[in-house]
Amino acid sequence: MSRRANAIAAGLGLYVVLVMASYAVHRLAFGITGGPYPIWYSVGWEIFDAAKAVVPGAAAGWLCRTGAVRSGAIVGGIGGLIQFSAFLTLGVLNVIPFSGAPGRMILDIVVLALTSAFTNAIGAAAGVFLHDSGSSMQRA
Amino acid sequence: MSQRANSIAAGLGLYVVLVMAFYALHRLAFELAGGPPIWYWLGWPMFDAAKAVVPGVAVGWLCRAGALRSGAIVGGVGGLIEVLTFDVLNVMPLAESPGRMTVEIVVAALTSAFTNAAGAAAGAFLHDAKQ
Repeated sequence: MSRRANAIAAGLGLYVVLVMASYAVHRLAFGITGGPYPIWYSVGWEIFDAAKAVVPGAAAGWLCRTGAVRSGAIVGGIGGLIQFSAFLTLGVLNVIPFSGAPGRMILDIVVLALTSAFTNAIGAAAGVFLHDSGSSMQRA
Repeated sequence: MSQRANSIAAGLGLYVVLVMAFYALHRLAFELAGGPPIWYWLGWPMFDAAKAVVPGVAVGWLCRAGALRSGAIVGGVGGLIEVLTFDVLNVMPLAESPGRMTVEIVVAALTSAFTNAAGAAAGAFLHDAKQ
């Protein structure tokens, strides 16, 4: 595989790890407490959301400078699709009445993929910047 | 003001504009439509994504020096403004549980600082790449 493809694969892998980690938090919150969700659930969810927004893209940009913004967008877009499919399959999205509005599910998927692609493209640009800054500091 | 202070002010201004635009969307959804319609649920993640990185990108674009820290400042202060504004405007009333409010404020500020710091790094990179 080319270096760019490797970077995209690494970013996607990281995205999947973050999705599964947020699912673990979800299971822990609802599986153990069974009642209204605890405060650490909303805290953990927000932290994972912030991480999913930029970290996979930043990893892709850090690993390969060439076409970093596009690589980040690919990682975010596909990662968003994986996230939605995984959460739908695993029952995390049960609170949303998709069966009553099938069109809503499609729109939600598209919006999630687009917003994730956007933020991860920014993350990838940040990854390149940080990598370049680190390299120039090492040279100095 | 220095260029860095100007860029932080511009980023914060942008953050506030996004927060108020989201509030306008919220009012429109709940008062005109009588309940949250589908476009409200679609608009929410879009504003969230924009608030997460766009103010930071603006800061990094306007001033390269200390871009990461400036982005984190904009995100942190912007996150505080967001939570407090939404609490005051009753979008997300948190005053019923003060402990929860404190935690929510800290987490919102930290996550927003993190993503906007990344945004600022991206802004500096994109500005360099353009030149």
